[in-house]
Amino acid sequence: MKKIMICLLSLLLSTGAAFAQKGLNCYPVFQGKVIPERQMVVTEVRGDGMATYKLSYYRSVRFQADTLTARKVADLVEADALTADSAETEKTGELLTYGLVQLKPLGITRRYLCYQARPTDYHGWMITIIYLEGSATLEDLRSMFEKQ
Amino acid sequence: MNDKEKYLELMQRYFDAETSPEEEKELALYAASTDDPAFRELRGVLGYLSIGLQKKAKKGRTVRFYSIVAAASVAIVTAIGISLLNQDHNSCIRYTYGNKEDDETLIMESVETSLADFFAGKTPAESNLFELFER
Repeated sequence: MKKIMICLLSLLLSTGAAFAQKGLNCYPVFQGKVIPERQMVVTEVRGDGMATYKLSYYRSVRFQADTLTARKVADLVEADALTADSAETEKTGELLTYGLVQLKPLGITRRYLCYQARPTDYHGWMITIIYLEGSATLEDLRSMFEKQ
Repeated sequence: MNDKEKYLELMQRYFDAETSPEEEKELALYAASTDDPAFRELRGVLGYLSIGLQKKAKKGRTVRFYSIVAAASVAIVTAIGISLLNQDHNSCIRYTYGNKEDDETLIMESVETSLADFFAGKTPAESNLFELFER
């Protein structure tokens, strides 16, 4: 009986992992609730395509925002950084312009949140947020891209 | 007092609900070992009770079995549901301002560029400065 229950729980947990983003403060940004999806570039890659990077899931959103919206998004990322395992952040003035956040793992799955805000010609910001899942450590990712 | 008389008395006490579990067991063994018609009624009652117990035990096992089957079914259906919601285990897709694109090569190139942007070691302050000077 115990074995059956353990198997069933494992099954549920493994499928539940697919919704890991949901717990994040910046989840509404990925959902298109802060900036409508029609004003964003949304990329999603899952599975074999990411295996090269020891990752299993990639989701990014990129969009232009005014300073007020940029601050709102930055606040959400900062809130996630507060509860994360580690976070490297950089600010320009009061605005968070860079964040590399190592979120708490989900079982054996490592999770990262990458954030960048770059100034645009129109006194606004080009914001990129990437959510990553996989087995790659931060060192793995750095060494993979440093070689290129 | 011979055996029969002893067990007849015990039987009487059994029907009056005055026997101990040990006595009932002894009486049941005796009733099962004799064909004496005086104990026919007792055999009938004991037989009925034993069938009842077997049925109860079987019913208990059946209920437990169906509970496990029900729990397993719920878990499997939930897992399948979640999996279906998250169907594409290998997907590569991009929506550029609402327009769907599925050119895997192009998408993977942009993924690599974005990842390199974060992990290649170039600090964002540097990137921003380069961009400002390029303008």
